Amino acid sequence: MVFSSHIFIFYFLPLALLLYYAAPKALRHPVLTGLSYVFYGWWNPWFTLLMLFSTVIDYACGKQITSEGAPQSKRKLFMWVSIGVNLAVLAFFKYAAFGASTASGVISFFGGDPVAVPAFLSQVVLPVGISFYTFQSMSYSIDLYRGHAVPAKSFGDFACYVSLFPQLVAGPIVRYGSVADQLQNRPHTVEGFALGLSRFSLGFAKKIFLANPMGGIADAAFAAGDGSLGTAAAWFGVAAYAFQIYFDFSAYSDMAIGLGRMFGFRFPENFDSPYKSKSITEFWRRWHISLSSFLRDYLYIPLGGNRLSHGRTYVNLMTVMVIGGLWHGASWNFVLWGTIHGGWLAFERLMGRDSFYAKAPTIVRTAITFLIVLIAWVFFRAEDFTVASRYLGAMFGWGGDAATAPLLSATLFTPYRLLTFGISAIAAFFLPNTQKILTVLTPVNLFGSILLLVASLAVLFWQGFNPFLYFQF
Amino acid sequence: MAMKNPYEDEKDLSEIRVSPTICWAGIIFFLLVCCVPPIFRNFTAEKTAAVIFKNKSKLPFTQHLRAAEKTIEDAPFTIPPRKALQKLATSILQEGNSKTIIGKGGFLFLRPGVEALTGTGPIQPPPLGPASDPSLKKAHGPAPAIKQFAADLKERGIRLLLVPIPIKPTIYPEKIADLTAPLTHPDAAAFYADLDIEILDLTDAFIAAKNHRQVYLKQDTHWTPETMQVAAKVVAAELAEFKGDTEYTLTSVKRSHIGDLVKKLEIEEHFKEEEVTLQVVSGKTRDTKSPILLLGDSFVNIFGDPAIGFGDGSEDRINAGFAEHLAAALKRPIDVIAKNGDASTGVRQDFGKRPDNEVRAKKAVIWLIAARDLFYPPKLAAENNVSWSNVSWSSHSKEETQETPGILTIEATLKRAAAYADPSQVVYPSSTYETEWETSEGEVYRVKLWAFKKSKRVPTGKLEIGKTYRLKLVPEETVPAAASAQSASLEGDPYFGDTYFSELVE
Repeated sequence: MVFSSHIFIFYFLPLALLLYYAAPKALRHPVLTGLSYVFYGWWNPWFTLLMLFSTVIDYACGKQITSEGAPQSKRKLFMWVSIGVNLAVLAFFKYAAFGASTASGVISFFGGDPVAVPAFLSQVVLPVGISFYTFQSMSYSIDLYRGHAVPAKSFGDFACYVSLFPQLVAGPIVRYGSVADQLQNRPHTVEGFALGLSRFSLGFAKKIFLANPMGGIADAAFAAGDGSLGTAAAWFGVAAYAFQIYFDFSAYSDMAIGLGRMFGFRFPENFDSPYKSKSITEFWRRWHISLSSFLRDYLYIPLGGNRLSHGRTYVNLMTVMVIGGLWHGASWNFVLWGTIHGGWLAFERLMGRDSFYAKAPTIVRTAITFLIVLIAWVFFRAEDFTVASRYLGAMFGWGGDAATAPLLSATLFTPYRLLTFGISAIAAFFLPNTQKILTVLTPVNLFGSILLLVASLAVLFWQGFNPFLYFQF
Repeated sequence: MAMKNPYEDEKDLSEIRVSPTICWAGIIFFLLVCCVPPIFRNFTAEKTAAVIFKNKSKLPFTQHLRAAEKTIEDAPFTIPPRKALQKLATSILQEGNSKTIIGKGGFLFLRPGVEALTGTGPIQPPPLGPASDPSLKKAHGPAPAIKQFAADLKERGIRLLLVPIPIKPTIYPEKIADLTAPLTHPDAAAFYADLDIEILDLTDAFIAAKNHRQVYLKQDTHWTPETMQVAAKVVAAELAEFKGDTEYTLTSVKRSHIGDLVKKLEIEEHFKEEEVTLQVVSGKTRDTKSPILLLGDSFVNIFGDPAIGFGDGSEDRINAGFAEHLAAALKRPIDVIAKNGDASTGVRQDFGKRPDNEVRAKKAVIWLIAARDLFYPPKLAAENNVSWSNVSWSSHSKEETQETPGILTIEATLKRAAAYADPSQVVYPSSTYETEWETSEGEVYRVKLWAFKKSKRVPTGKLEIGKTYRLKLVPEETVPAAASAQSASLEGDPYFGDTYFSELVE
């Protein structure tokens, strides 16, 4: 089910709120879990079995990790069992075909006979949000092992945490430690509910008014054939994609955080105006914060972080970013996207705080950062390396030579698209983000956000259905 | 005792400066926004929410959920805001929607058609990534199916003439962009050369015609009657050896209509009807025994099929379409299989279902198809219901004396039904779908039924699998409107038996 669909807004959400608040306190978690399984099973009911499997394994591992008198070796073993099982599930559904085709490529590179990828692997359907909930579920065992959290009171509580529908399929990735105390006791206040619905409404409006129109531009630009994409159109398309992915993903996070609030939860923030960043290092403190925090705490720091040599720090940065890239999808494009970010993070660390680069005017640094992010987005958005290289070629003048190029440009640079692009650019670079707007809840932003929801529903009826981008990860 | 959140950077910094009363007011407002539309719809009109729990078509569960969701999204309360916003977008910003592009000088264009010209086309590898639909990865372009069809016809001694119809933006690019020369997909020439079959490109004829008259209807995807007649003459000239001696007379009639592209904008009331002069051809123009077979799509039907074009209010076919004018230009009746939006596969498959001796009696097949269908990359093709399958040919022959099936009335149970397209997502306003029925004596019938007409689902499109109905069956070819409509076919092994049509199911 998608937050911006009729079935969710007009049926599921009111019913979920009614059932949740009508249930006795002791039954609220089972009710929420049941609702979350319906929400997730709406795509494909079989996928819920996978989520249940992940939940059972991690709960069982958690029991072993925290069992009284358990030796360190046993605790460590079960943490690794949890990590291993979750990564194995992810590997099968997300990476098996990619791994097989890469292995085949390597074999043929060294003169061997290429091995055909088994047909069933290329037909495996990626369960929605698998990357999110496996990471979340895994964090339980790790947090228990590290002593950052106490075990869930019951399997029901843990199942509720793993399946929480507001952030289940596209984050924020809520580590167990973040909500452990809330699972046991959380306040349900009318003010918290009002704040939640305001956040949800603003996120909904952001998705409809900004993300969807930008998606139309980006889709048209990236679908262009060889020679049909001119330089200006290529830059316009990738900038539109940059705005689309930011507004789409941050809108989902806003809606998730808002929905969480309505059910009494406080989820971590996921975005903080990333395009205002003055460096890639800063960008990663503002972009998909829950993923970068997860990778920092569970990968970068265990690898040694910046505590070892300079060289090792650069290697660690690169490793984390490449794995972060692969987390998004099984494709060399995502590896390249991660490599660009990892490489630039290492470069910024190498340059240091006193370098010319670090002391350049803010506008220059913001522009350079956005430029690097844009180039990296090409690899992220393009379906494969051929499309990415064709697109980059068009951005730098090797494109637009086909007679159809002016036709594509004319359909891209329409008054409506230029207007929505301008508004998106202003919102991304100059306006406060949703959490800043709602830092203080006033009657104006409470009712203003609901009116925006009403207006965006009308626009949704006009635009038609548009799924969220991050569902595919 | 639970531990507090150990992650310092996840602290909640929000502050509430609203009284509980104001908060309650906001919550009630929000809940009304979410609850009023479904309550209004389910308690005053139709019980839409119930569709989730009733899988009448016995679809696989996930498909049923998607279909139920679609029913819920087609709520009447969405129409007024949609129309109002479209009117605003069109009048102030000259913006169309996902199907229609607003061009210059009152010209409208089919957006997928423009995207077919600027997209990856039929030769370049289509953009498919790890998140792409696995079924698209299996899809192949048009070339293999076209080459196989040509080879099959050649083996049967039949000449194939492929006639790709240049689409509106090819002839009128200046109505969208600052372009003067006609344009097609950059890979079109290479693609046609690779097919290595006889191809008649109408672009030059249309460009020449553009100097004298309007080539395409302003508000519609299709050509004008005059251009259609030019095309008929050009095609007839290619088939000079088949010319007969039947004389036809033409009568002019004026008709007007709101174009399909306006209908997709859903603001018909803001456009004037477009008037055309049709040349109605008198005499017998169609004959299933003709050695010449025309395969085609809505370009063939636009001035003959009142469901999509310029009718007089009745459902009677007008003898003013491409087939009639081709017959007039050839001076002989021709055989026709033309289905709206289904020239890629449906018409070929219908031909393949015919008895082998009837197929082999043909001397030439003229295959008229909108060029955009040839240029769609897999994703766009799937979105526009264009597929490229090979033809399964019937091996059975039919004796001259064998009777064609007559009118039948049966009582039977609906066993299977083809899934048909969403009326709001396709260009054409009507569609049939194939069903399979079994009588209590175990006799099995294939029956086509109307799925939707005038873009609205009709009662025959809402039958329940497993239920028994009474049907009046007629041979499919006796209902021209159904024969020319887009049709959804049952999946599975090819079927070579008689297919009936039923207008009425009780």
